[in-house]
Amino acid sequence: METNRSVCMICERECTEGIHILTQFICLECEQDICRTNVEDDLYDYFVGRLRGLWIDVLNLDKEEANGSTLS
Amino acid sequence: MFTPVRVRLQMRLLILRILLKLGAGPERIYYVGGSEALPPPLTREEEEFLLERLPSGDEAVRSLLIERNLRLVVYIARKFENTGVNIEDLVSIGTIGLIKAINTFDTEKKIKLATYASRCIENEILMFLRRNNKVRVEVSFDEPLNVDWDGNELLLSDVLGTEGDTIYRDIEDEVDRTLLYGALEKLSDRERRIMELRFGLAGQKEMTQKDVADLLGISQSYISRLEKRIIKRLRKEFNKMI
Repeated sequence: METNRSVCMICERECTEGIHILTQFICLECEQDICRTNVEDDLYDYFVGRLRGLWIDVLNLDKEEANGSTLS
Repeated sequence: MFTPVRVRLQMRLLILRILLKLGAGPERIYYVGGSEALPPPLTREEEEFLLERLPSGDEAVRSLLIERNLRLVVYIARKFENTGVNIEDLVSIGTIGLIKAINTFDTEKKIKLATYASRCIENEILMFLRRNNKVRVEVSFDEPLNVDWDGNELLLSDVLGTEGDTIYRDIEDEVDRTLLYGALEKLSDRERRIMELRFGLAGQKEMTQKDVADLLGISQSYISRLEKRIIKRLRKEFNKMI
């Protein structure tokens, strides 16, 4: 049987292994990458930006507030 | 012993594993300020049940432990709302802390998960705020050092090294090449492959970020970020070698 894949919210690849948080999916490779990354890392802001997608529905903010990220 | 809670959790894990296999995530949407809330925190029995299974590397267990501790992320993030960082970024940073917490939690140690996760989440946010503050006190290359009588500014970048100061010699290139290949050995397979493809290090033609992204099935923006990080790591390796 062919196994269906989920699209990772971080790298946008279709993967089979990973974690589901609320309505989103993070592949195993990106999950491990997140664990290895610290705030000084160039990838850090990218992860923060992508993870905003997880919260945008949850926080139920208005669009104006949602667009006002403090990250560059 | 199979208590009703354990049976319910076994069923929940089974459903989640099936959903993971089918590639279909849960379709619930929770609203902090709305009528629905984030998933409720785990009861003590539920948490014990999941923590027993955490060392096995079960993705469904990690998913549940992360999801059911998201309220903790919101609670801690709200304490930092007066720092000028917006709440969406704070909860995203807190989520990184929570993911790290679940991945590094040692079930052998006698510490509560909520205590450990709280420290990880708070620490992650504090590290981010510290970094932001540090960035603000850094000096810009365009910082005016002085202004002459005509109002012309002497910038920091004006007194830094110029092209004339740079010496190119074949021997230096050769040493650099040896250092580069030595540093490449320290990278993971994926990182080395990206560098080889992007800069033609394996003897082939250089590829654009988009071409590499298409080849590896990763988005271009992710390749761009990975590339920056790899170059930073290579620099560190160089510094160790020199």
